[in-house]
Amino acid sequence: MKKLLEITLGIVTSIGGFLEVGSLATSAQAGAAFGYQLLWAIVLGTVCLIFLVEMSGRLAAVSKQPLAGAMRERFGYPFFLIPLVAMSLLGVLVLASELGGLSLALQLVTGISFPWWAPLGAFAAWLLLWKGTFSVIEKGASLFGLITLVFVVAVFRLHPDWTRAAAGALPSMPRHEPMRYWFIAVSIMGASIAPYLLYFYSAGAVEDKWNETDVPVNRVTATLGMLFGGALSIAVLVVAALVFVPRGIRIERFDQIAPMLTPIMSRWGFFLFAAALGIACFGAMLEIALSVAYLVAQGFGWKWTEDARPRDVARFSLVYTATLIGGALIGIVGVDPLAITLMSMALTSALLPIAIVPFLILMNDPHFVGKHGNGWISNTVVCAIVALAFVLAVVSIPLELMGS
Amino acid sequence: MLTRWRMSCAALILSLLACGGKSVADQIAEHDRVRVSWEQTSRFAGAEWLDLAVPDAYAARTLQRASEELRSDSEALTREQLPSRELARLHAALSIVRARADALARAVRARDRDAVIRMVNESPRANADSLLRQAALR
Repeated sequence: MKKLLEITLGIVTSIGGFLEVGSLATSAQAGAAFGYQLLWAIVLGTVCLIFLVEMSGRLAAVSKQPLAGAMRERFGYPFFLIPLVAMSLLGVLVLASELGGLSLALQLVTGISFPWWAPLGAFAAWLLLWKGTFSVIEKGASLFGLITLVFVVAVFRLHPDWTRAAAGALPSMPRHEPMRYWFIAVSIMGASIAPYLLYFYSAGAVEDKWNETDVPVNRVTATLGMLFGGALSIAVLVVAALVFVPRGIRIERFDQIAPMLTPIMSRWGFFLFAAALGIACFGAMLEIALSVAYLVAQGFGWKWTEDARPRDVARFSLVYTATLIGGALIGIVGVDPLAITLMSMALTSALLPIAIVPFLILMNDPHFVGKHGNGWISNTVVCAIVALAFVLAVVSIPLELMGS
Repeated sequence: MLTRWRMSCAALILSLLACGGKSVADQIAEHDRVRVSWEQTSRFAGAEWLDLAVPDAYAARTLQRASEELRSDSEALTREQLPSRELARLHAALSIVRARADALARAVRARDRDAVIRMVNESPRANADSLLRQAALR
């Protein structure tokens, strides 16, 4: 009974914490520009994420070590510095895009311009990290995040053609704007396979004191949680396709996405969208700031835990504070949140091999995972998807930059 | 096996690189898409404002944004090497749509519902059937 409750709570928190500005923006943009044609990118990203999240939980449960600590031990400092620097800088950039999403949600509700909200949003996140515990942050944000289920409700009210939607799950060549098509595909994969989620998940497993008996629970939670979470991204894409395509609207700015639920739910739809965007982005901000702090503190062997008083884990607290300040500075400048979101998601795809390849080596090392090592299916699937995302990113990012 | 993998990668990269160069037709199509998209965004914002589905501040800001985007597309147009006839057509179409967005924004700010109803009805609707078929949604 206790295990069942654990699994249910794990799945619910995974669903509530899945959507964030990246998955929301990229799915909406894909749906508006290409109908269901890019559903395959969400499917591939979600499959890869299921494997990776399950692996990071298994590593923590068996080795009692978080991902960053295990990487440093296995590869040593000089090598570890590469993922450390790359993922920390990317974390600040992704945090800035989440802060942009939160600020935009507040702008939608209040009418006050979004750059004004950036410092306030960052301060609120910092205060919660400073005062809160891991459990409150993880479960609180995710439970509020269940509001994102509004997109699933919208899909059922729009009555999509399921056969045509299912056809989009198979990769296909673009019918128009090939450069944009591949760039959005890369951004979707970057938004789905977010490396910060792996550091957060494995650190959370250590904070919750998982052991080998938790491996089956982790498998079910990771699989079903990420599967249902992926379904949320699919719901956003389908709603965007059915609302924006017949109107001929392409998503160039975030403001254009805001009324995506109003044709179905009228004024409630507008405010539900703003609430879903704001809560999802705020939850993601907390996770990213903590993930960067976990990565740095575990990497350097400092004391780390979100459950201790900040003065007892001063360097850990300093890192999440600095990460939030970095994100807020980018937000205050007023860079277009949609542009920064798409670029940070595409960069995530390009940097995936740096984060994922060492992780795969760890997952095949009996010193860390004992008899719970990876099978050939998980190794092959993750390698293939990461390689595809990397190749597409390396080629499409320069082309997109030249094009814009 | 490895050779086939390398060849597949090379083919994918080459096909992506081939997407990089934009022909004149592509450039014109892109400007048309931008214009239509912001024209329909303005129409949608106006229609949803009339249905009380979006707040006044959102509608006004979106219409102002539409006008700014159309102006910046018009400026971008002047830097491109396009046939003069096409250039003139695109400029004229952009300025009509921009003027409409500006007028709609003024009417929303003044809360002049009658004017907004008239302008929303006058602005052309997107051809939903053709767009849905083009995106394989119907």
